[in-house]
Amino acid sequence: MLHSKSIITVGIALVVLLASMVVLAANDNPASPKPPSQNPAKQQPSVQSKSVANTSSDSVDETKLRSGPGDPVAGKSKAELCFGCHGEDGNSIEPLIPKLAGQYGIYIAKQVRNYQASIRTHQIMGAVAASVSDADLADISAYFASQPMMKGARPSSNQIGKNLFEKDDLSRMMVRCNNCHGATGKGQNPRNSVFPVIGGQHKEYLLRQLLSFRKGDRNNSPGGVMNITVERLSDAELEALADYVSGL
Amino acid sequence: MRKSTFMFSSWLMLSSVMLQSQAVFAADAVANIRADVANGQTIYNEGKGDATACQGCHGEKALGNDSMGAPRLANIGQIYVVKQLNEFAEGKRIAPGVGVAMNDIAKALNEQDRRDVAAYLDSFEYETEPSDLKSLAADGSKVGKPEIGKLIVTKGIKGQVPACQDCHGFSGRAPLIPAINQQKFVYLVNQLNSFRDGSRANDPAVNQFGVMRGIAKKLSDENIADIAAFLSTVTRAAP
Repeated sequence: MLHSKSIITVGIALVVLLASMVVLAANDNPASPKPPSQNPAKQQPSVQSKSVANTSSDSVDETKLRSGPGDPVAGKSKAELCFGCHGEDGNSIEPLIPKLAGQYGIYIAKQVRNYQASIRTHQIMGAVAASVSDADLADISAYFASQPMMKGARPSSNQIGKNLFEKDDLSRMMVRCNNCHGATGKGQNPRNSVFPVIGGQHKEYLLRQLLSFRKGDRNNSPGGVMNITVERLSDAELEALADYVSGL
Repeated sequence: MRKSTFMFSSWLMLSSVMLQSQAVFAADAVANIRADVANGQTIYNEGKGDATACQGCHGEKALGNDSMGAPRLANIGQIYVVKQLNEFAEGKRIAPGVGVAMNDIAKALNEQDRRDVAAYLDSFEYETEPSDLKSLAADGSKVGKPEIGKLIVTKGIKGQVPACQDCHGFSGRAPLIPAINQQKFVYLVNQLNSFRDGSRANDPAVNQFGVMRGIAKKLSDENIADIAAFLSTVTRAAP
């Protein structure tokens, strides 16, 4: 008697539970019509200053943001001189020549302008850069930026490199790379050209840049930030880092 | 005579060994830089020599103090803090108001002390303490609208000002870009004003143009009040 009563109680409880779940599910369903009083516009800031940017970031094409002000289609025909070394799709073969595929357009243009002004030096790039006009430079940069993002051939299991990339070290005053260059070394967001793509770049090229930054031969990063960042890293640590980053 | 020759040659040998070791030391000096959190903690809480204790103005947890215009220092970036202390010591940065004390305080600390204090500041667990905008407004500050500030911080002003967050992120971008979220309202307003009028000029330069000076020149008083109102009160991590 007691037994069957408890079964009935459990049964009733189950029915109530199921019914309430159905009701809850119906309420959660976004397709179900909402009462007209719930105006989604209310959740947005109602006051907008005229000077503040239009904020419909969803509609903006990410590739276009990444490309910068130039025209990638016009850029392709102007970039033929670059293809010989950097590859037609911006994926160079030679390990000391950087990949440009998916690199920020504004970043590429800045480097070329630095070559023009001898702020960054390289025998061949210095000569090539001298022959490029500003308008062509914007288009060429946009072309390489709009190519599918560079990628490492295989992931690296280098633990030393991974640690340096991901972890700060207070006692050695060392800062991780991914805070600026992004979790996978592809930079921050498409409109932010301050932090270049490094993930998937050639290991040999990365190592040479890191060594140049440490020695001070290359010092065209904003405020010398890269020189400061790598000044306390050993040869072995720089190599480990280049190895890890090239696999991203 | 022979004795003095011997002494002279041994002095030569000794000094050459010393010179050599000095050269080796110089090469290793940068690589071997270390920071000691415990010493930093002592200096922060108790001061050292002519340097008064930091906590007096910046607070025990280094969260800053609006009534003095003292900035938050906890978790804003170790190397950034060292750079500021070095530049206060060299007179390259002079802070407005009570902040003028920073030059003598920084001078009283040696380079190792500055590194240690900075390491201590970055060793804190992350804590939030929003500026009290209501009481600031009651005291006559123009506090601005956080919701407008949010738009500038996260999206920028089209064609004029890049989004603050692009460079600063939520936790700063070490080594040179400090965290500005949860920074104190009064300090933020003072810094943007100082960058705008050029009285603070120790910001990183790109092609000889100071980045923050360039950006601040394009901000109105209203923009600055809005940005500071948002940053000093935002508590949730944003991308």
